[in-house]
Amino acid sequence: MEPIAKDKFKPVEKTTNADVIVRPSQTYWQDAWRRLKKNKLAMAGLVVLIVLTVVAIVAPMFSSYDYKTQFLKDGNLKPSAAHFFGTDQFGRDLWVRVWWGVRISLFIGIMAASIDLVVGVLYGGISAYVGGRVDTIMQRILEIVYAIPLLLLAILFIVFMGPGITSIIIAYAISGWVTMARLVRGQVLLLKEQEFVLAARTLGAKPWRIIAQHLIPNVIGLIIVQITFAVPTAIFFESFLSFIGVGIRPPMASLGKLISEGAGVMRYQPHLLMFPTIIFSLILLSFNLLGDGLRDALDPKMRK
Amino acid sequence: MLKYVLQRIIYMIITLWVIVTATFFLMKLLPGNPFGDAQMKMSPENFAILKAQYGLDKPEWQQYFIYMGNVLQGNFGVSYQFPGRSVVSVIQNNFKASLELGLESLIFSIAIGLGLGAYAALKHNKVGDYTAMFIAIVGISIPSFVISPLLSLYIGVKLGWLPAGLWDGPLHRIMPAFALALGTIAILARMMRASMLEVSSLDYIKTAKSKGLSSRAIVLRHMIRNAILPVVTILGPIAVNVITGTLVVETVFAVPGLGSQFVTAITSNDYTMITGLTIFYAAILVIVVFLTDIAYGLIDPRIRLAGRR
Amino acid sequence: MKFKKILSTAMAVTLAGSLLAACSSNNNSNKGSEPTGSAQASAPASSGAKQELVMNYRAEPPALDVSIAETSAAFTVLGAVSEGLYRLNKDMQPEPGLASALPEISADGLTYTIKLRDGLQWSDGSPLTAKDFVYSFRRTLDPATKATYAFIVAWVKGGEDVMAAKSADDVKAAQEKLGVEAKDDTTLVITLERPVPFFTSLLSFLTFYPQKEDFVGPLGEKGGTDADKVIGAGPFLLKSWDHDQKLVLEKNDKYWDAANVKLTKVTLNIVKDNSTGLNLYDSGASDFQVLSGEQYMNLKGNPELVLKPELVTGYLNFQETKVPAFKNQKIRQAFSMAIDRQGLVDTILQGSVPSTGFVPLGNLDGDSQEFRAVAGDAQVAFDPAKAKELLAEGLKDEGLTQMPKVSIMGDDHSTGPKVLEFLVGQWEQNLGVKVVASPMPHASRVDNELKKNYDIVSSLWGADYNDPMTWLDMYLTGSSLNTQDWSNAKYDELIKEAQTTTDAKKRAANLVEAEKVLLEEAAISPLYFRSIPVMVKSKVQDLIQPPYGPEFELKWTSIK
Repeated sequence: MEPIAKDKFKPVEKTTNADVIVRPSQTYWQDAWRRLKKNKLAMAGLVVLIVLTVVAIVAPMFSSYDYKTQFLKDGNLKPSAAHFFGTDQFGRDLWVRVWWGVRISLFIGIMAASIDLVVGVLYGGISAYVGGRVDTIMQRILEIVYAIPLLLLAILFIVFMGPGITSIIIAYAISGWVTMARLVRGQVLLLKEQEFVLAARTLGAKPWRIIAQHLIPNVIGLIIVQITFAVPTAIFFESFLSFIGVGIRPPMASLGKLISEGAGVMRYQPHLLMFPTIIFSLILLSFNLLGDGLRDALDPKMRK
Repeated sequence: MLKYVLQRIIYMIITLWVIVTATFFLMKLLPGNPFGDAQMKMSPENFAILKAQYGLDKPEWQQYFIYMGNVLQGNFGVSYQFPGRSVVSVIQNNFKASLELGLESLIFSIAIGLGLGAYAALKHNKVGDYTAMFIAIVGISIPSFVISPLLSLYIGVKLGWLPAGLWDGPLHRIMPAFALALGTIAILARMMRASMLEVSSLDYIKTAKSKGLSSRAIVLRHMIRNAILPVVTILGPIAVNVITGTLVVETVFAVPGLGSQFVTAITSNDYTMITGLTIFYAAILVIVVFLTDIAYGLIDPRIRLAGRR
Repeated sequence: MKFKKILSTAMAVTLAGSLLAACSSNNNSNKGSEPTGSAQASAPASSGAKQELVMNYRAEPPALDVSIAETSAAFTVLGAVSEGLYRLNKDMQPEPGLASALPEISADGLTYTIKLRDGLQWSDGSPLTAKDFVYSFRRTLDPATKATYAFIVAWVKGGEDVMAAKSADDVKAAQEKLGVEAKDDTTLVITLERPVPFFTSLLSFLTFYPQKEDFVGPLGEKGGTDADKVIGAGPFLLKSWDHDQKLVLEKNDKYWDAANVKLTKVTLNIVKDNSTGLNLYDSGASDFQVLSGEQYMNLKGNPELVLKPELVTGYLNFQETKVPAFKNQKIRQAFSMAIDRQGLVDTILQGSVPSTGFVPLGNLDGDSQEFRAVAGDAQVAFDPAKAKELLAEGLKDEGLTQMPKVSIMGDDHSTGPKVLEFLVGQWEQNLGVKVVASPMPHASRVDNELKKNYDIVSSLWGADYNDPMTWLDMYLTGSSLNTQDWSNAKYDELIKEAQTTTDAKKRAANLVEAEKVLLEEAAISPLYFRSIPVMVKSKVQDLIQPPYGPEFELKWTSIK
């Protein structure tokens, strides 16, 4: 057997960041954006949301009416040039009240979704990443929160804190984060066992690096989609609370409050129901269409 | 498997116990007491006697142990709103309608939701896809407290096709079941669409196509049948949502269900009713989730291996 | 405080939905003199029409147990299924029911001797005797029964002792001494602790109905919870009861006056939402439906519309300890004066009437006159300019530069939140004062109110018996219902004198004078007298809708 020359071997140059062989993540986002743009419904949803938000910010500023001053003599006017959406029973301009309602409903939705995001991602992520006993205990707690009827918690909370926007947001967030936490946990658990994570770990990547470089980019699509659905869910939940009579402090009104008040008089004052419902449904529809579009665009399985 | 099942059952019991305890003490945080107006009518001395009769003068921890003792014997106490009627009998009586309404609405949502979802998947990224999903989503974009009274007024009164409310015969079921179904159609349609898309890319479909099977046969015999499986596994939780989420529809169509009981119980501080209903709802949910997991594990062994512990 | 307060059963009513109703002042001119909302003029029932009535009813009645019943829902159904010694007719006058004639009253007004009709029967055919009344009173007072209306029966001599008895033996001993006695099967003697001028009409109240011991006793707490657990001696019997769905009443052939009961069947469908209720009414599935103010406004002029005035007042209390500024009479007056009551009624409570005092229209004065007709308009009138002036003066008196931040508490269902919304707007626009609205569930509101944990509270009060004392004794210094901590020596003197005098004229004059003091000082701020609009199909004759107690009276009703 011919001896192998020693000089044929030389040590590999030491690399400190061997695991940095990841695909540039931009292409994923570019890819997703390209596919989202092709989805006309989702794009329509996005545009409608932007338009509604801008109008909600601007419209009340340029109106000569405010949401609370009562003009009893002008009660229940039909839509006209002076009052685009008519007036309510107190003679307040519905146009201004609806856009104030949009502000409040969107604020509630976005704040609730943000709390979902922070709590749910942290909880789900930690639970899955640490694993073992911690995971078991955290899962048991989550199951308990999940099984307590949301309505009970919400009403208790609002009765206790008094009505108002903050109470509603917290009431929803108390158990709203559970769905997010479950999803994130499931995804992280799957990823944790996958070859590229194992490889990175074998190559000596630190935990924070694994989380930042491998886990988060792979979970973020899911999170974005989930937030897109959490916002309308929170808005919808608020409208339900308004229906049963707990929620915003009058004379402020959310869209849900305006709708539930309008529903009681729909036979006689249809404009009080119609306008807030149309705007409300547009918001929910847009969020859902956008969410569906994002899911299609961000789901790696759909990438073909 | 048996060990896993036993373990899950123990966890379920612990979960329910924690929920009972938490609800019991949370309720005591509610300002006021179950006697609302009676308290105004009576002198403070007589009111104290009344409270003592209900055992509400004892320290809370003592009340808790008495209550837990009763719960273990299946006694959830007597409702404060409906004196003489036990919480169990109220639940028994009113749950019938909620259950029936929920299951009937599930039929609507399965038929419409799966149909729309399958159709959307077959027309993937075409106008048909968008239209079907748009229709499905419209259902969750309009509050049920708008759609239900509209149905009652236009179909019940103006057209006179169906009863505007009440719960007497088969015809009385149609509108409330449909109104309730709207909320779940979108969920099922989405799930079905995704599932169909996944199935359509699998090898056996390609094989079937290359063997020259008619597309009709492929869709019916292979795609839909296989795509439905994962959808079935979420039916459990969806059914729970539907059955427990009947409040608005029950109120509007005058259905004698359980939904509105919960809200009135909370706002009138009917302690025994609140805890009883919470346990009831929580137990249904926990059990259904458990059964779903078991079923899921049986259908797809991979799931059991991954992640569950 | 001897007389305990009776909270309107109508308060429980409001839980169900927007019942608060409405009317404008133009069509209430005759209301003062005619307190009853009787549906249509009497007409003989033609033999052709089917004597069956279908009504929408707003709530599931709680236990139909004579001792325990405390809501108007229970009063209404039990009033049809059973009967007391007297029954109020369409003029709200007691007519002999199970009693054969009006009571013989002793000169000191304490002893009532009542003769029962001969041959009275329970609906199961067993005999009804004076002993059934004795049992009923004793059972209601027993603390173990947990009867919230027991205090009314406690006006009978020795009643308080039964209620306060500690052990079962003590209860028994005290029950033996109770001032109610069956001299023989048809003679009942009731002795009162002190004279109650309106006691005869009170004997028509549900809590004084008889109870059948060997039926009620064995049922224990389950009494009155199902159709087979209810027994009565009234014009109807409870045929079936599907909880939360419907109750079916059928004519009771054993009733002593069965010959004059025309309806053979009444179905009460439980419909909680009044939009749905009106849909059912319009589609012919119901003959009776209560309306919301908005519905009323749009149905005005409809011949089937009936407006039913109630003995219910909506009003405000100002808590004087928590908000010391409210100790100042001028500041209270300013708050009261800044409210446009007509506007409130036109905007939210259509059908109701702006208040002209605390005791509502139709309430008698205890001397067979209508209280308001005697007392007139005692309310501080709406005057924003004067209100502002008074507020400025008041604040100056108190050494304040501006009104401290206050909130107003009220119910979060029915029209409750809208009333708050209206008031907050009025104070901000007419007085320049920012007040925060705090709607909350009824149980929490009542609790906070009794704990004096509020700045301003919006409440409702309704009469169970037709006397001004039910309204006025609650503002005595130290009364548990004087949650606002208002105190006035002259007021206390007037009320206390009225409570003890046997001179009906003086008593009535004192009460009128007391209300004047209460309102001049703006100790409270009444807002409106409530009326409830109802749709009744024109074929329904003689459906009596009393202003207090049961919501409707079916005994004399017929179908044309």
